[in-house]
Amino acid sequence: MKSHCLAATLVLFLLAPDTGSAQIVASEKGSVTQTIDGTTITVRYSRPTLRGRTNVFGSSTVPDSVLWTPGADNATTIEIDKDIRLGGADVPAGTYTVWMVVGPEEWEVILDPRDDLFHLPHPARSDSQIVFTAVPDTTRRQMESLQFSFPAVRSNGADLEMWWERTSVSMPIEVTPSRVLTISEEDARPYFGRYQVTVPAQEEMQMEAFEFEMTLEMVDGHLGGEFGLGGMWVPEMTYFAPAASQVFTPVFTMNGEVAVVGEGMFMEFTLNEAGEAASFELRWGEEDSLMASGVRIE
Amino acid sequence: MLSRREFGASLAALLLIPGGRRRGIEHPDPRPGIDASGVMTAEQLKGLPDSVIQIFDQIREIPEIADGIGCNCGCAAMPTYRSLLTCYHETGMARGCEICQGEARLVYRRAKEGQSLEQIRRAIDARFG
Repeated sequence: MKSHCLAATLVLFLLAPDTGSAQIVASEKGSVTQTIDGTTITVRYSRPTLRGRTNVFGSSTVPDSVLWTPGADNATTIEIDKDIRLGGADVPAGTYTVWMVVGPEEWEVILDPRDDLFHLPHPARSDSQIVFTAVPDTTRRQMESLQFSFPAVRSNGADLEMWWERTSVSMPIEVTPSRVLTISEEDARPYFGRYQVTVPAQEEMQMEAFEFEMTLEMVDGHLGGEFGLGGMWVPEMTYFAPAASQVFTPVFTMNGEVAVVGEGMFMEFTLNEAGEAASFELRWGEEDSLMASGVRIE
Repeated sequence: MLSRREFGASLAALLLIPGGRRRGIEHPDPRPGIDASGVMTAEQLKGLPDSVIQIFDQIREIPEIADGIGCNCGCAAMPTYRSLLTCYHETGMARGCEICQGEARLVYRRAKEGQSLEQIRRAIDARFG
Protein backbone atom coordinates (compact mmCIF):
# COMPACT_ATOMS: atom_id res chain seq x y z
CA MET A 1 0.00 0.00 0.00
CA LYS A 2 2.77 2.41 0.91
CA SER A 3 4.60 1.63 -2.37
CA HIS A 4 1.37 2.29 -4.35
CA CYS A 5 0.92 5.64 -2.57
CA LEU A 6 4.52 6.53 -3.26
CA ALA A 7 4.15 5.63 -6.96
CA ALA A 8 0.92 7.66 -7.26
CA THR A 9 2.53 10.63 -5.55
CA LEU A 10 5.53 10.39 -7.85
CA VAL A 11 3.30 10.37 -10.95
CA LEU A 12 1.30 13.36 -9.68
CA PHE A 13 4.54 15.23 -9.02
CA LEU A 14 5.76 14.52 -12.54
CA LEU A 15 2.49 15.78 -14.00
CA ALA A 16 2.80 19.09 -12.14
CA PRO A 17 3.04 22.19 -14.39
CA ASP A 18 6.44 23.32 -15.54
CA THR A 19 7.81 25.91 -13.12
CA GLY A 20 10.32 27.31 -15.59
CA SER A 21 13.08 24.76 -15.78
CA ALA A 22 13.31 22.14 -18.57
CA GLN A 23 11.38 18.99 -17.79
CA ILE A 24 10.63 15.75 -19.61
CA VAL A 25 6.84 15.47 -19.76
CA ALA A 26 4.59 12.64 -20.88
CA SER A 27 2.97 14.68 -23.64
CA GLU A 28 5.16 17.41 -25.08
CA LYS A 29 3.56 20.58 -26.39
CA GLY A 30 3.17 21.02 -30.11
CA SER A 31 1.61 23.56 -32.42
CA VAL A 32 0.99 24.09 -36.11
CA THR A 33 0.09 27.28 -37.95
CA GLN A 34 -1.16 27.72 -41.49
CA THR A 35 -2.01 30.87 -43.41
CA ILE A 36 -4.48 30.57 -46.26
CA ASP A 37 -5.14 33.64 -48.39
CA GLY A 38 -4.60 35.96 -45.44
CA THR A 39 -6.47 33.85 -42.86
CA THR A 40 -4.24 32.33 -40.17
CA ILE A 41 -5.15 29.21 -38.21
CA THR A 42 -3.11 27.84 -35.28
CA VAL A 43 -3.66 24.59 -33.40
CA ARG A 44 -1.92 24.25 -30.02
CA TYR A 45 -1.93 20.89 -28.26
CA SER A 46 0.00 18.44 -26.19
CA ARG A 47 1.11 15.28 -27.98
CA PRO A 48 0.26 12.03 -26.24
CA THR A 49 2.48 9.13 -27.30
CA LEU A 50 1.47 5.50 -27.72
CA ARG A 51 4.39 3.90 -25.84
CA GLY A 52 3.20 0.40 -26.75
CA ARG A 53 -0.54 1.08 -26.47
CA THR A 54 -2.70 -0.29 -29.26
CA ASN A 55 -6.28 0.25 -30.45
CA VAL A 56 -6.47 3.51 -28.51
CA PHE A 57 -9.74 4.62 -30.14
CA GLY A 58 -12.75 2.83 -28.71
CA SER A 59 -10.70 1.65 -25.73
CA SER A 60 -10.24 2.97 -22.22
CA THR A 61 -7.68 5.44 -23.60
CA VAL A 62 -10.22 7.15 -25.87
CA PRO A 63 -13.63 5.56 -25.25
CA ASP A 64 -16.43 5.70 -27.80
CA SER A 65 -19.20 8.24 -27.29
CA VAL A 66 -17.31 10.27 -24.65
CA LEU A 67 -15.93 13.78 -25.13
CA TRP A 68 -12.14 13.75 -25.52
CA THR A 69 -9.69 16.49 -26.35
CA PRO A 70 -7.30 15.34 -29.12
CA GLY A 71 -4.24 15.95 -27.02
CA ALA A 72 -3.43 15.86 -23.35
CA ASP A 73 -3.16 18.09 -20.27
CA ASN A 74 -4.63 21.48 -21.31
CA ALA A 75 -7.38 21.05 -23.90
CA THR A 76 -6.28 21.45 -27.49
CA THR A 77 -7.09 24.88 -28.91
CA ILE A 78 -7.66 26.20 -32.39
CA GLU A 79 -7.16 29.94 -33.03
CA ILE A 80 -8.67 31.52 -36.14
CA ASP A 81 -8.15 35.17 -37.04
CA LYS A 82 -10.95 35.47 -39.62
CA ASP A 83 -14.29 33.72 -40.06
CA ILE A 84 -13.98 30.35 -41.80
CA ARG A 85 -15.98 27.23 -42.53
CA LEU A 86 -14.56 24.13 -40.85
CA GLY A 87 -15.99 20.70 -41.53
CA GLY A 88 -18.90 22.45 -43.21
CA ALA A 89 -19.75 24.53 -40.12
CA ASP A 90 -19.46 28.32 -39.86
CA VAL A 91 -16.75 29.19 -37.33
CA PRO A 92 -16.38 32.87 -36.39
CA ALA A 93 -12.89 34.20 -35.72
CA GLY A 94 -11.70 33.38 -32.21
CA THR A 95 -10.02 30.73 -30.10
CA TYR A 96 -11.80 27.51 -29.19
CA THR A 97 -10.96 24.35 -27.31
CA VAL A 98 -11.28 21.28 -29.49
CA TRP A 99 -13.16 18.14 -28.43
CA MET A 100 -14.08 14.98 -30.25
CA VAL A 101 -16.48 12.12 -29.71
CA VAL A 102 -15.10 9.05 -31.44
CA GLY A 103 -17.15 6.27 -32.98
CA PRO A 104 -16.56 3.39 -35.39
CA GLU A 105 -18.19 5.07 -38.42
CA GLU A 106 -18.32 8.77 -37.63
CA TRP A 107 -16.78 11.21 -35.16
CA GLU A 108 -18.23 14.39 -33.77
CA VAL A 109 -15.96 17.42 -33.57
CA ILE A 110 -16.95 20.05 -31.01
CA LEU A 111 -15.46 23.54 -30.71
CA ASP A 112 -16.09 25.13 -27.32
CA PRO A 113 -15.71 28.95 -27.11
CA ARG A 114 -13.96 28.63 -23.74
CA ASP A 115 -10.30 28.61 -24.72
CA ASP A 116 -8.78 27.73 -21.36
CA LEU A 117 -10.04 24.31 -20.32
CA PHE A 118 -8.20 21.25 -19.01
CA HIS A 119 -8.72 17.80 -20.52
CA LEU A 120 -10.80 16.96 -17.44
CA PRO A 121 -13.56 17.51 -16.62
CA HIS A 122 -15.14 17.35 -20.06
CA PRO A 123 -17.29 20.39 -20.83
CA ALA A 124 -21.03 19.92 -20.87
CA ARG A 125 -22.78 20.20 -24.22
CA SER A 126 -24.15 23.69 -24.87
CA ASP A 127 -25.67 25.77 -27.65
CA SER A 128 -22.56 27.95 -27.75
CA GLN A 129 -20.52 25.05 -29.08
CA ILE A 130 -19.96 24.50 -32.79
CA VAL A 131 -20.46 20.89 -33.85
CA PHE A 132 -19.74 19.03 -37.05
CA THR A 133 -18.93 15.47 -38.06
CA ALA A 134 -15.88 13.82 -39.62
CA VAL A 135 -15.31 10.33 -40.98
CA PRO A 136 -12.28 8.53 -39.52
CA ASP A 137 -9.73 6.87 -41.74
CA THR A 138 -8.51 3.79 -39.86
CA THR A 139 -6.09 2.53 -42.50
CA ARG A 140 -3.15 4.86 -41.86
CA ARG A 141 0.34 3.82 -40.96
CA GLN A 142 1.28 4.08 -37.31
CA MET A 143 1.62 7.61 -35.89
CA GLU A 144 3.40 7.29 -32.55
CA SER A 145 2.61 10.79 -31.20
CA LEU A 146 -0.71 12.50 -31.89
CA GLN A 147 -0.25 15.02 -34.70
CA PHE A 148 -2.19 17.92 -36.15
CA SER A 149 -1.20 19.08 -39.61
CA PHE A 150 -2.45 20.77 -42.78
CA PRO A 151 -1.53 18.17 -45.42
CA ALA A 152 -3.26 20.06 -48.24
CA VAL A 153 -3.36 23.83 -48.72
CA ARG A 154 -5.39 25.42 -51.50
CA SER A 155 -5.91 29.00 -52.63
CA ASN A 156 -9.30 29.08 -50.91
CA GLY A 157 -8.89 26.57 -48.08
CA ALA A 158 -7.01 23.63 -46.65
CA ASP A 159 -7.46 20.30 -44.89
CA LEU A 160 -6.83 20.13 -41.13
CA GLU A 161 -5.92 16.62 -40.06
CA MET A 162 -5.64 14.95 -36.65
CA TRP A 163 -3.72 11.66 -36.74
CA TRP A 164 -2.86 9.19 -33.96
CA GLU A 165 -2.03 5.52 -34.08
CA ARG A 166 -3.60 4.30 -37.33
CA THR A 167 -6.58 6.66 -37.36
CA SER A 168 -6.94 10.13 -38.78
CA VAL A 169 -9.76 12.55 -39.31
CA SER A 170 -9.65 15.24 -41.95
CA MET A 171 -11.58 18.48 -41.54
CA PRO A 172 -11.92 20.66 -44.66
CA ILE A 173 -11.41 24.41 -44.24
CA GLU A 174 -12.86 27.14 -46.46
CA VAL A 175 -11.66 30.71 -46.00
CA THR A 176 -13.23 33.98 -47.10
CA PRO A 177 -11.39 34.97 -50.30
CA SER A 178 -9.31 38.13 -50.03
CA ARG A 179 -10.42 39.21 -53.47
CA VAL A 180 -12.91 38.33 -56.20
CA LEU A 181 -11.35 36.45 -59.08
CA THR A 182 -14.48 35.96 -61.18
CA ILE A 183 -16.29 38.35 -63.49
CA SER A 184 -19.71 38.40 -65.13
CA GLU A 185 -19.85 37.70 -68.84
CA GLU A 186 -21.40 41.13 -69.38
CA ASP A 187 -18.47 42.86 -67.67
CA ALA A 188 -15.93 40.64 -69.46
CA ARG A 189 -17.37 41.00 -72.96
CA PRO A 190 -15.54 44.21 -73.92
CA TYR A 191 -12.25 42.34 -73.48
CA PHE A 192 -13.09 39.20 -75.50
CA GLY A 193 -11.03 38.84 -78.62
CA ARG A 194 -7.64 38.06 -80.08
CA TYR A 195 -4.62 40.19 -79.33
CA GLN A 196 -1.10 40.43 -80.69
CA VAL A 197 1.15 40.58 -77.65
CA THR A 198 4.64 42.03 -77.70
CA VAL A 199 7.13 41.32 -74.96
CA PRO A 200 9.95 43.87 -75.09
CA ALA A 201 13.57 42.84 -74.72
CA GLN A 202 14.45 42.41 -71.05
CA GLU A 203 18.08 43.36 -70.61
CA GLU A 204 18.23 42.30 -66.95
CA MET A 205 16.88 38.86 -67.86
CA GLN A 206 18.99 38.72 -71.05
CA MET A 207 15.90 38.08 -73.14
CA GLU A 208 15.16 39.21 -76.68
CA ALA A 209 11.83 40.73 -77.64
CA PHE A 210 9.19 38.33 -78.92
CA GLU A 211 5.54 38.23 -79.91
CA PHE A 212 2.64 35.86 -79.48
CA GLU A 213 -1.13 35.80 -79.82
CA MET A 214 -3.55 35.77 -76.91
CA THR A 215 -7.29 35.05 -77.06
CA LEU A 216 -9.47 36.27 -74.21
CA GLU A 217 -12.83 34.66 -73.54
CA MET A 218 -15.02 33.46 -70.72
CA VAL A 219 -13.53 30.46 -68.87
CA ASP A 220 -15.48 29.07 -65.90
CA GLY A 221 -16.61 32.48 -64.71
CA HIS A 222 -13.24 34.07 -65.33
CA LEU A 223 -11.80 36.27 -68.06
CA GLY A 224 -9.18 33.93 -69.43
CA GLY A 225 -8.04 32.19 -72.53
CA GLU A 226 -5.40 30.59 -74.64
CA PHE A 227 -1.89 31.84 -75.15
CA GLY A 228 -0.20 31.11 -78.44
CA LEU A 229 3.13 30.09 -77.02
CA GLY A 230 2.51 26.44 -77.82
CA GLY A 231 2.13 25.46 -74.18
CA MET A 232 5.30 27.23 -73.18
CA TRP A 233 3.64 29.26 -70.44
CA VAL A 234 4.19 27.88 -67.00
CA PRO A 235 1.69 27.18 -65.39
CA GLU A 236 -1.03 26.16 -67.85
CA MET A 237 -3.62 28.92 -67.81
CA THR A 238 -4.05 32.53 -66.86
CA TYR A 239 -7.19 34.26 -65.73
CA PHE A 240 -7.47 38.00 -65.36
CA ALA A 241 -9.19 39.10 -62.16
CA PRO A 242 -10.78 42.59 -61.90
CA ALA A 243 -8.53 45.05 -60.04
CA ALA A 244 -10.05 48.42 -61.04
CA SER A 245 -11.93 49.87 -63.99
CA GLN A 246 -10.28 48.47 -67.14
CA VAL A 247 -7.48 46.98 -65.03
CA PHE A 248 -6.98 43.29 -64.28
CA THR A 249 -4.54 41.20 -62.27
CA PRO A 250 -3.21 37.94 -63.78
CA VAL A 251 -4.12 34.76 -61.92
CA PHE A 252 -2.07 31.69 -62.75
CA THR A 253 -3.59 28.23 -62.41
CA MET A 254 -2.25 24.69 -62.40
CA ASN A 255 -4.50 21.74 -63.22
CA GLY A 256 -7.55 23.93 -62.90
CA GLU A 257 -6.67 25.32 -59.46
CA VAL A 258 -5.53 28.84 -58.66
CA ALA A 259 -1.78 28.73 -58.05
CA VAL A 260 -0.86 32.37 -57.54
CA VAL A 261 -2.53 35.77 -57.84
CA GLY A 262 -0.27 38.48 -59.16
CA GLU A 263 -1.07 41.32 -56.77
CA GLY A 264 1.81 43.45 -58.08
CA MET A 265 1.04 42.86 -61.76
CA PHE A 266 -1.59 44.77 -63.71
CA MET A 267 -3.10 44.42 -67.18
CA GLU A 268 -4.35 47.90 -68.10
CA PHE A 269 -6.72 48.09 -71.04
CA THR A 270 -7.72 51.07 -73.16
CA LEU A 271 -11.11 51.00 -74.85
CA ASN A 272 -12.06 52.22 -78.32
CA GLU A 273 -15.07 54.37 -79.14
CA ALA A 274 -17.25 51.29 -79.35
CA GLY A 275 -16.36 50.45 -75.75
CA GLU A 276 -14.24 47.44 -76.75
CA ALA A 277 -10.74 46.82 -75.47
CA ALA A 278 -8.34 48.08 -78.11
CA SER A 279 -5.00 47.57 -76.44
CA PHE A 280 -3.39 46.81 -73.13
CA GLU A 281 -0.17 47.13 -71.16
CA LEU A 282 1.04 44.60 -68.61
CA ARG A 283 2.86 46.44 -65.81
CA TRP A 284 4.67 45.08 -62.80
CA GLY A 285 6.26 46.12 -59.54
CA GLU A 286 7.31 49.30 -57.81
CA GLU A 287 9.18 50.46 -60.89
CA ASP A 288 5.97 50.02 -62.90
CA SER A 289 7.95 48.05 -65.47
CA LEU A 290 6.33 47.36 -68.83
CA MET A 291 6.33 43.57 -69.16
CA ALA A 292 4.21 43.31 -72.32
CA SER A 293 1.77 45.21 -74.49
CA GLY A 294 -1.02 44.02 -76.71
CA VAL A 295 -3.16 45.24 -79.58
CA ARG A 296 -6.52 43.77 -80.59
CA ILE A 297 -6.36 42.00 -83.96
CA GLU A 298 -9.85 40.42 -83.90
CA MET B 1 19.90 34.13 -72.80
CA LEU B 2 16.47 33.61 -71.22
CA SER B 3 14.12 31.39 -73.24
CA ARG B 4 10.43 32.16 -73.64
CA ARG B 5 9.55 29.32 -71.29
CA GLU B 6 11.94 30.68 -68.71
CA PHE B 7 10.39 34.11 -69.17
CA GLY B 8 6.97 32.61 -68.52
CA ALA B 9 8.26 30.86 -65.43
CA SER B 10 9.91 34.03 -64.16
CA LEU B 11 6.66 35.90 -64.75
CA ALA B 12 4.86 33.40 -62.54
CA ALA B 13 7.63 33.69 -59.95
CA LEU B 14 7.24 37.48 -59.88
CA LEU B 15 3.64 36.94 -58.83
CA LEU B 16 4.78 35.53 -55.48
CA ILE B 17 5.45 39.05 -54.26
CA PRO B 18 2.79 39.77 -51.64
CA GLY B 19 0.34 42.57 -52.00
CA GLY B 20 -3.16 43.53 -51.01
CA ARG B 21 -6.18 45.52 -52.05
CA ARG B 22 -7.88 48.37 -50.24
CA ARG B 23 -10.99 50.44 -50.96
CA GLY B 24 -10.45 53.12 -53.65
CA ILE B 25 -10.79 56.85 -52.95
CA GLU B 26 -12.66 59.31 -55.12
CA HIS B 27 -10.57 61.37 -57.53
CA PRO B 28 -11.35 65.10 -57.53
CA ASP B 29 -11.54 67.24 -60.65
CA PRO B 30 -8.34 69.29 -60.97
CA ARG B 31 -8.91 72.97 -60.20
CA PRO B 32 -8.58 75.24 -63.27
CA GLY B 33 -5.34 77.20 -63.14
CA ILE B 34 -3.96 75.22 -60.18
CA ASP B 35 -0.23 75.57 -59.73
CA ALA B 36 2.53 74.17 -57.57
CA SER B 37 3.00 77.22 -55.36
CA GLY B 38 1.87 75.27 -52.28
CA VAL B 39 4.28 72.37 -52.78
CA MET B 40 6.99 72.36 -50.12
CA THR B 41 10.35 73.64 -51.27
CA ALA B 42 13.73 71.95 -50.98
CA GLU B 43 14.57 74.42 -48.23
CA GLN B 44 11.53 73.31 -46.23
CA LEU B 45 12.43 69.67 -46.83
CA LYS B 46 16.00 69.98 -45.60
CA GLY B 47 17.15 66.87 -43.80
CA LEU B 48 14.89 64.48 -45.70
CA PRO B 49 16.39 61.86 -48.04
CA ASP B 50 17.12 62.98 -51.61
CA SER B 51 14.71 60.36 -52.91
CA VAL B 52 11.85 62.06 -51.04
CA ILE B 53 12.86 65.56 -52.12
CA GLN B 54 12.91 64.28 -55.71
CA ILE B 55 9.27 63.23 -55.43
CA PHE B 56 8.29 66.72 -54.29
CA ASP B 57 10.15 68.11 -57.34
CA GLN B 58 8.27 65.71 -59.57
CA ILE B 59 4.88 66.74 -58.18
CA ARG B 60 5.94 70.37 -58.66
CA GLU B 61 6.15 69.62 -62.42
CA ILE B 62 2.62 68.23 -62.70
CA PRO B 63 0.31 70.11 -60.29
CA GLU B 64 -2.63 70.02 -62.70
CA ILE B 65 -2.48 66.20 -62.79
CA ALA B 66 -1.72 65.65 -59.11
CA ASP B 67 -4.74 67.83 -58.27
CA GLY B 68 -6.94 65.35 -60.14
CA ILE B 69 -5.77 62.31 -58.18
CA GLY B 70 -7.09 61.16 -54.82
CA CYS B 71 -4.73 59.88 -52.15
CA ASN B 72 -5.51 56.53 -50.54
CA CYS B 73 -3.70 57.11 -47.27
CA GLY B 74 -5.10 58.89 -44.21
CA CYS B 75 -4.68 62.32 -45.83
CA ALA B 76 -8.33 62.28 -46.91
CA ALA B 77 -9.46 62.51 -43.30
CA MET B 78 -7.60 65.77 -42.78
CA PRO B 79 -9.53 69.03 -43.28
CA THR B 80 -6.72 70.49 -45.42
CA TYR B 81 -6.80 67.58 -47.87
CA ARG B 82 -8.13 68.06 -51.35
CA SER B 83 -6.02 65.88 -53.65
CA LEU B 84 -2.63 64.19 -53.99
CA LEU B 85 -1.28 67.67 -54.69
CA THR B 86 -2.27 68.93 -51.23
CA CYS B 87 -0.47 65.95 -49.68
CA TYR B 88 2.66 67.78 -50.81
CA HIS B 89 1.73 71.03 -49.13
CA GLU B 90 3.04 71.88 -45.69
CA THR B 91 -0.22 70.65 -44.17
CA GLY B 92 0.06 67.30 -45.98
CA MET B 93 1.66 63.99 -45.03
CA ALA B 94 3.81 63.24 -48.05
CA ARG B 95 7.07 63.86 -46.20
CA GLY B 96 6.69 60.61 -44.31
CA CYS B 97 3.92 58.67 -46.06
CA GLU B 98 4.78 55.75 -48.34
CA ILE B 99 1.37 55.84 -49.98
CA CYS B 100 1.57 59.55 -50.84
CA GLN B 101 5.06 58.94 -52.21
CA GLY B 102 4.16 55.72 -54.06
CA GLU B 103 1.16 57.34 -55.71
CA ALA B 104 3.22 60.37 -56.73
CA ARG B 105 5.94 58.21 -58.28
CA LEU B 106 3.37 56.33 -60.34
CA VAL B 107 1.49 59.49 -61.34
CA TYR B 108 4.68 61.24 -62.45
CA ARG B 109 5.90 58.23 -64.43
CA ARG B 110 2.61 57.84 -66.26
CA ALA B 111 2.24 61.58 -66.86
CA LYS B 112 5.66 61.64 -68.49
CA GLU B 113 4.58 58.72 -70.68
CA GLY B 114 1.70 60.88 -71.89
CA GLN B 115 -1.11 58.91 -70.31
CA SER B 116 -4.44 60.60 -69.76
CA LEU B 117 -5.73 61.55 -66.33
CA GLU B 118 -8.28 58.73 -66.58
CA GLN B 119 -5.61 56.16 -67.37
CA ILE B 120 -3.51 57.38 -64.45
CA ARG B 121 -6.50 57.27 -62.11
CA ARG B 122 -7.19 53.64 -63.09
CA ALA B 123 -3.57 52.70 -62.48
CA ILE B 124 -3.77 54.33 -59.03
CA ASP B 125 -7.04 52.57 -58.20
CA ALA B 126 -5.62 49.16 -59.11
CA ARG B 127 -2.50 49.58 -57.00
CA PHE B 128 -3.59 51.72 -54.06
CA GLY B 129 -7.38 51.44 -53.99
